[in-house]
Amino acid sequence: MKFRYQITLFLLTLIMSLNVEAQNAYIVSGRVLDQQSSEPLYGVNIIVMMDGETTNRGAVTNEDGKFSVQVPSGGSLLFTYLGYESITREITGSGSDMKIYLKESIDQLDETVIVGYQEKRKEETTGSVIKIDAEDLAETPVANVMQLLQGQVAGLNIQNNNGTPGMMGTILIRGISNINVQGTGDQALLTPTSPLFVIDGIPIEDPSQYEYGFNQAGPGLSPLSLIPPEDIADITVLKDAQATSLYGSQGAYGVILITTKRGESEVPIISYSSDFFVSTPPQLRDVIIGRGERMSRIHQIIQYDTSAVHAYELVNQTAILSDSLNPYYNNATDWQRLFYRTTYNQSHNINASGGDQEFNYKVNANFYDSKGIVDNTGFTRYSLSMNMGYRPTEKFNLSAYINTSLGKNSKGSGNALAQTGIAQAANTTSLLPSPSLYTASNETLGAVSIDNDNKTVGVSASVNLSYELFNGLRLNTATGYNYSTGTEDTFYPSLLQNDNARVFAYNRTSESLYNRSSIQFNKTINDAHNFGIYLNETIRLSNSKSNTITQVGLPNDEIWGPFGYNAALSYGSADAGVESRSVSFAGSFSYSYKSKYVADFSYRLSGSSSQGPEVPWTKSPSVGIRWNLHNEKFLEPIDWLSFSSMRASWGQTIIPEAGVYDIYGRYITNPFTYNNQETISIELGNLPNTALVPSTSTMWNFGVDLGFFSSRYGVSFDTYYRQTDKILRRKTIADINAFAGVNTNETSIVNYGYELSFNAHILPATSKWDWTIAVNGAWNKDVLAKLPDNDRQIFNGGEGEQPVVNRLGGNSLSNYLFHSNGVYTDNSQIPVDPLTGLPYRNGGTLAPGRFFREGDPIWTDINGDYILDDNDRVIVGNSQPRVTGGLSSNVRYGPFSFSTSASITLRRDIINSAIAERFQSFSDPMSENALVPIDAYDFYTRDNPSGAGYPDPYDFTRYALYTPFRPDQTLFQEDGSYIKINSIGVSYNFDRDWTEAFGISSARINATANNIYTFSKYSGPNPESVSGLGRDSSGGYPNSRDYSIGLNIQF
Amino acid sequence: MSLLFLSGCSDYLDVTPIDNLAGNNFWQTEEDVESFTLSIYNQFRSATMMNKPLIVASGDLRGAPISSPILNYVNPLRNNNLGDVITYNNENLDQITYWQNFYEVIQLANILYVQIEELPEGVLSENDVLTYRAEAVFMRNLSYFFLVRLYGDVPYYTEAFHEEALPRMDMVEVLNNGLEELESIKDNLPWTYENTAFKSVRANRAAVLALMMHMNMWATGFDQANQENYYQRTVELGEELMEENGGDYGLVPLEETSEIFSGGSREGIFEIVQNVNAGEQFPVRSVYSNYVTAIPYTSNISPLISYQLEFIRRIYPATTTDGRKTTWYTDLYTTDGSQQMVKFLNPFQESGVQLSNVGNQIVFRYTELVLLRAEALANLGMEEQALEMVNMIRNRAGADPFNSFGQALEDDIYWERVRELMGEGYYFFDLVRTGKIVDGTYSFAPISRTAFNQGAWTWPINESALEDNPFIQLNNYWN
Repeated sequence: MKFRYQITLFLLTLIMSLNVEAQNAYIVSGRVLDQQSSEPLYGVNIIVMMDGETTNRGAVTNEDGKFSVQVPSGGSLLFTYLGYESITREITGSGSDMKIYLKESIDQLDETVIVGYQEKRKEETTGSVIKIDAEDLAETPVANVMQLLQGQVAGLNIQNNNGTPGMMGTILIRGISNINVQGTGDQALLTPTSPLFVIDGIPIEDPSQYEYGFNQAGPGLSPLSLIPPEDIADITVLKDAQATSLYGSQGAYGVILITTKRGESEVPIISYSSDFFVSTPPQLRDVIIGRGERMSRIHQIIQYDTSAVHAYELVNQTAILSDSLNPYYNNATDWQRLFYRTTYNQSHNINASGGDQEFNYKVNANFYDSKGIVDNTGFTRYSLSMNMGYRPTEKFNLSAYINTSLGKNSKGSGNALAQTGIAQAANTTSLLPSPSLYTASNETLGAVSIDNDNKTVGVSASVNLSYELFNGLRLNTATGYNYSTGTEDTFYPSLLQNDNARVFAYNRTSESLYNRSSIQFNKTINDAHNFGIYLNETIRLSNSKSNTITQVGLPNDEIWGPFGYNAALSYGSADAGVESRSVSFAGSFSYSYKSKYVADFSYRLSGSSSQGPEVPWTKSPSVGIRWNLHNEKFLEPIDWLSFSSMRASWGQTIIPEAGVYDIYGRYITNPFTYNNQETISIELGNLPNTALVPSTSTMWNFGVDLGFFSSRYGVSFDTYYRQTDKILRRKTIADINAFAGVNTNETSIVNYGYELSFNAHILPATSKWDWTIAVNGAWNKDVLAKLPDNDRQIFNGGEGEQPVVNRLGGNSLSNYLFHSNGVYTDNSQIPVDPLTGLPYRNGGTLAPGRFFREGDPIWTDINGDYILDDNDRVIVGNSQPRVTGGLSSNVRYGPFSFSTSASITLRRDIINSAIAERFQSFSDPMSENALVPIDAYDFYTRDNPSGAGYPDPYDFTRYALYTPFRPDQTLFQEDGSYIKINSIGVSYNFDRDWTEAFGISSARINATANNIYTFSKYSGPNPESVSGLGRDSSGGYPNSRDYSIGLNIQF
Repeated sequence: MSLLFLSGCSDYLDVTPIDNLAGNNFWQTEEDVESFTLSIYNQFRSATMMNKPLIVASGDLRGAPISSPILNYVNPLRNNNLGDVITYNNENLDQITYWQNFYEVIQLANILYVQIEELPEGVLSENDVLTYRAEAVFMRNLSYFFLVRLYGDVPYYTEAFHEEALPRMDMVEVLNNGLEELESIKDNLPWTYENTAFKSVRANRAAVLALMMHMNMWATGFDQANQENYYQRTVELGEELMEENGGDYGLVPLEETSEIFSGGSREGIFEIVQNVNAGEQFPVRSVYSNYVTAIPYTSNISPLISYQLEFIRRIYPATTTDGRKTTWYTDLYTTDGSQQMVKFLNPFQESGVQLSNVGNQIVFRYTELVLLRAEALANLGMEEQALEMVNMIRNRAGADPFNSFGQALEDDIYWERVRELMGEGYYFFDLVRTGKIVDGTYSFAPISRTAFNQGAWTWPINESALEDNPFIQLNNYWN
């Protein structure tokens, strides 16, 4: 019955349009141009309107912006173009030179964003979503596009703390979700919780293992580094649970969607861009070299040794100090200059694209080469990607995407995260000769002579098919395949290996297959009620395996073949391979009434092989509502308020963290047989816990979006509360249980915060100048809400390890340090135990050197027992930043534009091990480390005892007994707040009329400086180059400062 | 497409790791159960022999009238200076203070007991399930028995995958819990096994009875109010063991003693496997025989320990006849280091040459249980039967039968145990169990009554037991 009605309706409209045809008609032609640049706009939709209603007639502009259309009398034309404001023109007669200027839309609400695999108008989204156009990012060549997003999105905290070319820093959306720490000391790392990356609708492999370049072996390249930033069209950040719920547990830490460019022009456009850039190392630290160094050491020994006789004897016994005429000891080598360098790099990108509504294509070729500022490191990317879209009818749509890339990188003697070898080598005394066959320092030679060659090859392809079964009902299926191999080959010359040259080879392959099938139905009733239903099902299979080979004892340094004769030392290993599968079903329902009231409901069920088949499916429900006040009648009279809306959402994501071994236990074959029969036992490390449940993250979000004065000013405010419960954490258990520990879900943390973004077109549209500013800031606080066994606090790590404390009610990760309170300037200040008569001392034996004396640091004796030990530590500081944000500004005048961006991180505490190490360099004047001048610091000396900030660095005879420069004291905990000028760039657009003479449709040059300056009170090298736990390790790879010149040409 | 996947989802998501076995893929076949069961025995071997010289140090050397010119931990062991003993961590003596190894056996046994339910239907017969469970119960209680003898009161649990902290339970309660459990399963086990690989190394009914007799006898010393009951039960269990075993167990002639200590003899009721051919060899210091033999049997120049002559004369008076004097010893009465105890040496292949002890470690032996039964009978005043029992052993040894009564009979039985079971891990525990350790007429290194009551007979418990367990109090005597 209903169907018949529809047919009748269809016939009726057909007859009506035929009627129209019969009337008088005008032929109108002309051009559509951009109001700002007067460039032609291609693909503008022109729809014929009759009596204020759209008809099914119309036209589309060509690449020159030209169009021609037949309009019945009394009709009008509606010009619509994505990202531009629509215009309607009454047509009163034929015309051939109509010029239409479209104005770029600055109305954020008309923008479309992709949420939960569906394209939606921003006005109809209920979640917290921020979209960044690639054009708005700095024009700096970078390996990984995430580097450019720093400070651009409120609540997205990016710390580029790993300067190794091709690696990724840490990325957190709305604070930490996990408090598990791996490693100790300044190498301690927070278990990464990276957001999910989705590229053109296909999620990529879990990037958490790449976050710190984690794979100990292998290239450690982030998969994002294989995507050329030039090929990216836009990036969308989904922050709240409503927006991420359809991505399931993988999206629990936020989702970042990346869309690559597509072809849009009927005439093929070939654009070429090229950058040359110079990378410079940060300022190297000053060192004392040559004779100055020797005299400083001798002076220290003579002044501080127990007796003058012993001092002279010590100097005489230490050849490096006394034998100043020996050419081996008589040098002034600048070690840092040997390893740190300024490099000249380049990148090239060619993009050819074209097509129309029916068929479009794009091919992008990219070459990027960046040599690291540390010698023997670097990253090179070759990438070729193409996509095409085919749309023979309105109903059918096919698009395909292929990306192949090769990344080559060298980690030198370090790993993907740190260059500890270099750090050690650069810390060598200047008295030794520069690296040669006779060098004592292996690290030195290793840094320059180890051959490390890594290749990462990635191939990914995806196909997306969609078909509209009938009006409003669309079927869609997307399939993606990813394949990547990573190889590492490292050669250690025989010189470094006791005459046993060594090669190491690592090989890893991984692949994943992804499919998503969905049904989408949209229906509008009475022009007011909008319904949308979306159902999808996803499956994912992935597997990976890796193996290594080490051959020791090569014939010589030239033959690296697999000829290791020293079988005892040559070994290989094969990882049996990891296979994982997941499947999910999701549905969403959305309703809106005249775009005034919007409501979204969604639900996702997912299962994964890491859970085993018996664990219930994980569920993530969400609800969101939005009220667009600007569509209400009562706000219409207020002119200056161009839009205003309120959003609220609630969502829950259930994150399976436990592996199958955590749940069921791991059964292992014992190395010993029993009575010559095999025995299989359960591994006693972790007690299986069949009661393990996934952790639950519940988030509330409330937001307000406001626009003023025709959207010239926009403000967006979000506040959220996220509670993550049942976090998987291992706890130790009593030894009577035989198992050492058990994983339980007994930890909870809460994050809450506020995010504010503001953007403005400062000058009116009439001005020749265009100045846009975007500012954002986010305040986030995390509170530890529950610990296993209802403990109040847990201490991780012991003496000398810079322990981390989890304390209930406080921030989740605090430091546990000795409390420094100045320096003893006089022996009379040292407290004496009235019971024993012994002065205050460092714990351990009663060696005389352990008793504090003048020049020693004053550490508060918290428990009052006159002995300094672990009981005297205090809980202090927070390693997580409280405030992050950024600013970007763009000024355009005619062909010139000037852009700058900055980011800010406030209120975080850093343990400055770097400066502690500086002072420690004086702890042993006989050793072969570098001496760093410390004149800049205010420290105690015997000549000048009063008012010093730092204790006596020269008292080497007692150093090991009281370690005055231990990093785990409040003296070295500093405020790590900083404001960083990320980039400043200028560009110039050549006049089109002039360039067209050369067949160039557009040409632009730009100059950019990146990582320019960091304002900070922090006394270490760089407050950003610290680990996620706020540890400043000297072994880290410093960030380079880059200057680039680029050229962009379009044919 | 969705529908297709919905139906097959569970299978689709069940990925089998190929590097290790996860619990959801274990417990599928009889082999899984068998190899897991063996791992319990393996763990018990680790706890007693492999990880530390537990049986020798705690049973034979502690409080014994011995001296050693070479091993410096022997003297403190004799004099009960355990604080000194456990500093010899190169001999793993400190490991005796960690009770965790026995709890590993207990936890694994508990897991077997529960997880056997998870097997798919039909893999094991109902009978097999009962047998495996009985094995689990036996191994669990054997461990508790060892724990009780070493540390006194110990935490007690029988749940699988136990993870809570527990206080120490009164040891009489631990023993009574065990006795109750063992009573319920003892009939589920066969008397012995046809398969020689199983015989006397896997739990059997005789082993359960033996363990129950020992648990009863240990309880007599610490639950004196119910002494009579425990003796009565021991007598009954001993009778069951001796009368109902259907000829599977009995005495072996004295000349064939070495057969006993090779393992798997008629006398062996429960033994810990040493299989040198399969690379399963006890550490040198864990084997008593290695302390009391020298060239040509072992590489020692002279035996590592020697017994006080006074003690030797006490157990083997020069005037009595006893086959063991010559069969088990060379130069019994000398003190110049030429005395060796060859009791445990094994015949090497067919050559008949005796070599170092490479056989099983005996935990329960028929002879020992005959003597235990005799002791219980004597304590109940059933002297006729007691004499009959003890004289069985006397006759086998070629010694004159006893004909004493009252206290003299009890003493005779005690000294017969010392004589017969020397080097089998009973010496110190017999002294403690009977309370004779405080009496200088029996003990050559007596402990004072006060010290005994404070727990001087226990081993110190390592401080690590306090970690994550607020309920534990260590053995105060050693603090």
